[in-house]
Amino acid sequence: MHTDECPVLTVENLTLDLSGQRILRDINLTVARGEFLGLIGPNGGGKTSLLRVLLGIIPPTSGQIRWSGMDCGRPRIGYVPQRIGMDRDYPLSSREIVKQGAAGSLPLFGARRRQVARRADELLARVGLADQAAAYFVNLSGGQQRRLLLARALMIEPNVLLLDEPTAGVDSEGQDQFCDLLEGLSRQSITIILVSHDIPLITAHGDRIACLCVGLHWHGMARALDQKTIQEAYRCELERYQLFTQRKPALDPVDRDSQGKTTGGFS
Amino acid sequence: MNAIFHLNSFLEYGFLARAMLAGLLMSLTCGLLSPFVVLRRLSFSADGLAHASLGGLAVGLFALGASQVPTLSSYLVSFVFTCGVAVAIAWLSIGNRLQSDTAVGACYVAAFAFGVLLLSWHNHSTGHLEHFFFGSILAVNPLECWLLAGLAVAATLFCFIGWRGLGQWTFDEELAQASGVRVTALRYLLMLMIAATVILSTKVVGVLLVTALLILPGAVGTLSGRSLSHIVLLSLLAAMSSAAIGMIVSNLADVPPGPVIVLVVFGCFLAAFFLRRHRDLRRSRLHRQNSHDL
Repeated sequence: MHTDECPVLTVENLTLDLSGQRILRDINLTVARGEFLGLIGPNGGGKTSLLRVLLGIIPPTSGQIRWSGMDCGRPRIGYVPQRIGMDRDYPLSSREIVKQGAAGSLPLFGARRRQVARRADELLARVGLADQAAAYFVNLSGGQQRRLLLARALMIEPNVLLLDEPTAGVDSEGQDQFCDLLEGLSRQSITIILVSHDIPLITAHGDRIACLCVGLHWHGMARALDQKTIQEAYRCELERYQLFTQRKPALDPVDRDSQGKTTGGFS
Repeated sequence: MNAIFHLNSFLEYGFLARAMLAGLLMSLTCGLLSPFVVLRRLSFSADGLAHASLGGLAVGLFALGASQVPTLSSYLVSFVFTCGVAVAIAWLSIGNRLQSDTAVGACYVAAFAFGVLLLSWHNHSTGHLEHFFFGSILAVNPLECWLLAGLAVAATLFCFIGWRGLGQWTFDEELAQASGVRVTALRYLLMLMIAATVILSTKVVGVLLVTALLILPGAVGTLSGRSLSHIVLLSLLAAMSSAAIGMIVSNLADVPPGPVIVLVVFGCFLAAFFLRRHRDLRRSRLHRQNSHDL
């Protein structure tokens, strides 16, 4: 645990409705500075939506989000999204994509330009992509793309990092490397909120876990996660499924789990 | 000798100098906007707006007294009409309201058909539709030169002030939003700039050919450059050199300048395409060779 007592993020009674559907309901959450919070939950549980609300991309329907404990008021938030909307033939090199992440809106000239280029090279080396600086984004593997996006997010020297399934499709060695990198950042008092379906990974590296399924279902220390919590979250997912399709699924996964026919959970 | 005489004619005749200036100003604007049109996949939107602008031009000419020469007021009316179409396309394309190509297709055909009808009616007393479609750059007047200069300044300011935001937007919309870039404002502004460009391009290359100047220079840049600044510089170079070469060639060969400018920029695109292909093939051959050596 690398946290101090100072809360960085306080979410109070946050509710989000989109297209007449309740996505998030009465979320209350406090995240401390330097904390590594793992956010789990079923598909459609609102994890990505919560990140988008925290980023200010979607305004909440009601409730409050307070960022505090920052030296300069508003936090610098780095973000690694689940998917990238760029085209396959996006023509910029990896180094240029990382440089794009630097703060400011005007073109860079002179010393500032050199400084940004130097920092981009440092970050590429830090995420193990120094030899891929000239490569196109599409020529990188899935794991390399994730690390590149992390380097891009680190360009602004963030206080907070929000990561949406950054280890999806990455091999186990790559996942561990990625999480070691995040742990290192957490030790530098960077607050990390990581969305993932990989519970073992979060329990190995995270300080705390929150389970989100429309409402904040449960949150606590990483080691306190038990099978009952997983089953409860699964049941919640089934309720949503029935709500969408107005029909009952063929077999309740929780029951199947109890019959020993499936392992269930979020792995 | 003959060629030198023809080049001198650009200095001697005011209308030729104005035409060259108009071509260069137009290509400067298109060269700046084109990379963002290409990188954001807005080529069809640009094409749609170019067609829709015919409706705007028709309304401008028709509503303000059937004068054969477009005035400032008629340009303003045209701009407002085309902006209306641009805003409608941008609004329909935001979120999941409608697929962007469907939005463009629906809006531009209606505006284009409306324009053809109005102009056909109007045509009994004035001009010909070909002038709108393919331009008549030699007939550019000083007012249009000033308007093109103003547009070039606006496009330069737009790119300079929004440079980093535009760069982030081209990579990923959500990431750009997360970084605080006002993506919606950028989208509307870019569409408005394109609307103004296609309206003022009517005399230079015409509403049908302006699409080439809004797409091909950016394609040249994206095929050859690896940073945004290189892409925009190459796009500018392709657009402005094509305009200058096209004007000179059309004057020498006594052919309409608009199609010649478009064919020259297409030549640049072909050259960039094959150079890129050659570079990629050579790189993959080297890569295979290195793997084999190892």
